[in-house]
Amino acid sequence: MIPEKNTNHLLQIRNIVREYRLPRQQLFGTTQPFRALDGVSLMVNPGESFGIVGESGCGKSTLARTVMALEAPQSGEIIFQGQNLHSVSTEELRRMRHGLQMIFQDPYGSLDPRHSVEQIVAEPLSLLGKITIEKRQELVSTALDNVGLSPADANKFPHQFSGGQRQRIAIARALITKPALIVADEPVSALDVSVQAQVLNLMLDLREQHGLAYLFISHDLSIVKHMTTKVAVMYTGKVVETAPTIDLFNHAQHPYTRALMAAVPRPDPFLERSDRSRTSRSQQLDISPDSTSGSGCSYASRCPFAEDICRNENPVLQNLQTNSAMAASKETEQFVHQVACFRPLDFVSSS
Amino acid sequence: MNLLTVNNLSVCLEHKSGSINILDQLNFELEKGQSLGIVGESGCGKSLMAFAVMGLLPENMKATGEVVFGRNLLDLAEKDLCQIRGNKIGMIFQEPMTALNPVLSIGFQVAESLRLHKNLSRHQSQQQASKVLDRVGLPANKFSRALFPHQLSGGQRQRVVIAIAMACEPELIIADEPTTALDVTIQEQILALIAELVSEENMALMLITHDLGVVAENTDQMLVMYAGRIIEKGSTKNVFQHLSHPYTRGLFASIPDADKHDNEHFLMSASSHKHRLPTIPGRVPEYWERSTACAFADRCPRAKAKCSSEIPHEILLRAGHSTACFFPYEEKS
Repeated sequence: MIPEKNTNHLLQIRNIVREYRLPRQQLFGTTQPFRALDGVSLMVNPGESFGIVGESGCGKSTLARTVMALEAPQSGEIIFQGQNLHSVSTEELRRMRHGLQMIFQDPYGSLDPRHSVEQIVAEPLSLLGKITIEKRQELVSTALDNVGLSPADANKFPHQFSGGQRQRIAIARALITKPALIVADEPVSALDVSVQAQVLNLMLDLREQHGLAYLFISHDLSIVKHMTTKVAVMYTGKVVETAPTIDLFNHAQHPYTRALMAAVPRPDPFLERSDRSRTSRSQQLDISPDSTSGSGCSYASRCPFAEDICRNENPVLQNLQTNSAMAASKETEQFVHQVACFRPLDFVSSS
Repeated sequence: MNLLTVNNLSVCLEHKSGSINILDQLNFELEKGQSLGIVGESGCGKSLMAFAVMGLLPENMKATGEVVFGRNLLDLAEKDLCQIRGNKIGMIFQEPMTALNPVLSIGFQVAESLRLHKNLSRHQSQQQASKVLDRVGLPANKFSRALFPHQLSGGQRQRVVIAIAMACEPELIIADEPTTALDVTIQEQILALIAELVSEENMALMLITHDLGVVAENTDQMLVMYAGRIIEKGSTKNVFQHLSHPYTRGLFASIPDADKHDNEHFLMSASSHKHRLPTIPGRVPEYWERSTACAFADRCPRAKAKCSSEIPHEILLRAGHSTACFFPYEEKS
């Protein structure tokens, strides 16, 4: 389903497809395409925190890179603040990058060890054109102050900081251009649990203070639940379920979402481990289905509820409930629970 | 009769300017058929402890104390240790890609330890290896024994690593963050597989992890480490029920819980800043910053003067549950 074009959205991702070429198997063989993103559509409003969940290889990071205009999709559009990122001129794109910043996963790899904190944090300012040294220092110390570091840290180097502090530097670098959207690709997965909470709280506070929108990518469901208001679950390059976070966690419909949730270990030794026994050593050993083959739900081979229709036809995202009230307000910006499955678990989709 | 008894195990790092204790007076035991979880953040010495038990410390570190596994492993010569490593004690490593040799086939890598320890011929060892790979869920008809690690997915590679650890039917398996590099769904399969094999063979398991959920679901006993010391230990149920040490309690509180169904709470988090995660302020001290005091004192909400001058010793709270804290939480969590 392709959402209507609407300028009220901060970010609109419309049906993007990104293919890579796999390495050739034989010397003179042809290269096979691999669809990392297969028709993904989603919308982020200003000031909203949108989560993307999925296993490794599902296309989460490719999505982040295409949204950041680091990679061009083969088809589809990414509209940020009313303009298509992949059709504007290079000049224009540079200007638009003000509004668009990214926090990377690994705070050890994403900060140049030879640059001082000031150089690192001020780097995005080059987009603003020439500014005076005083102005630059002022912006750097405000940004550092915002993330809970002292302005005196500006002259230090990354190796003098712990993992959590480094991630704060990365956040300060993202904040300095006053962006409208921050793409956070697994921002805390490299951090220890006790530090992770500090960074998450900081991100929540900054959203509050600066009206930031986040595209929050994570494999950790409990963090996504804590941080976001809307979620999309991805599997092999497709969005298989999308809903307000609260609905998704209370009534997940897609068998994959359920499996993902059930697999998270609970910190409670008194819980029965009965549902554990169903994953035995024989299960799920097929090498993951290729998303290039056109027909059938890509989850069918792992799905315990798969039927013939699942193997032959491609499920599309559909609204879960279309009750009269919702149908009447179709024009509005209602964000509803959608699932791409022929046999959603609770309700039967009334299409 | 304990399978493994660790008495006053300390590891010190020899340095030009003197030596620093990285592990400080660890004491614990592990019985046959039991599983012991070891939790802590990075740098707390979990992995180092496993390496000390296996006698795999780097040159500049020295272990003192006792590691009794039949005999005191710390007294053994390298030659004798080689008889035990991989044979009586198996180890599962964190990164399956670096633990496996990329230029050897998986069949060969599993057979290697069998040939070495069980004196089997090449042919016998390969047959035996094939059986072990069957057991970890890599049947020969789908997964040729001539495959190389790069042809397998992360979960499948970890199964090969498990097969190598299990091949000689060891009495103790040390699993150092076996699932950290894997997705949750694969993590579930791998943990289920380890649990299954361990209970079938009546092996003991030492599971090192930073994930409290993994410990809660997979172990009988647990110990929490902080800055090179054990700060709380006991049966997993006791520890989770009481969370006596302030660090354990803080660690537990700072994980966002996917199970919380209180929607009111949740709506607040979505719309405003009221719902924040409780955090532990500060950071873990580096090993050169550790002094003769409770290492957690700077970050502890209950710290008093005594905490920054003395090292708290282990006190028994109840049968099978002890903590190293002067002012542990009395009430249940």
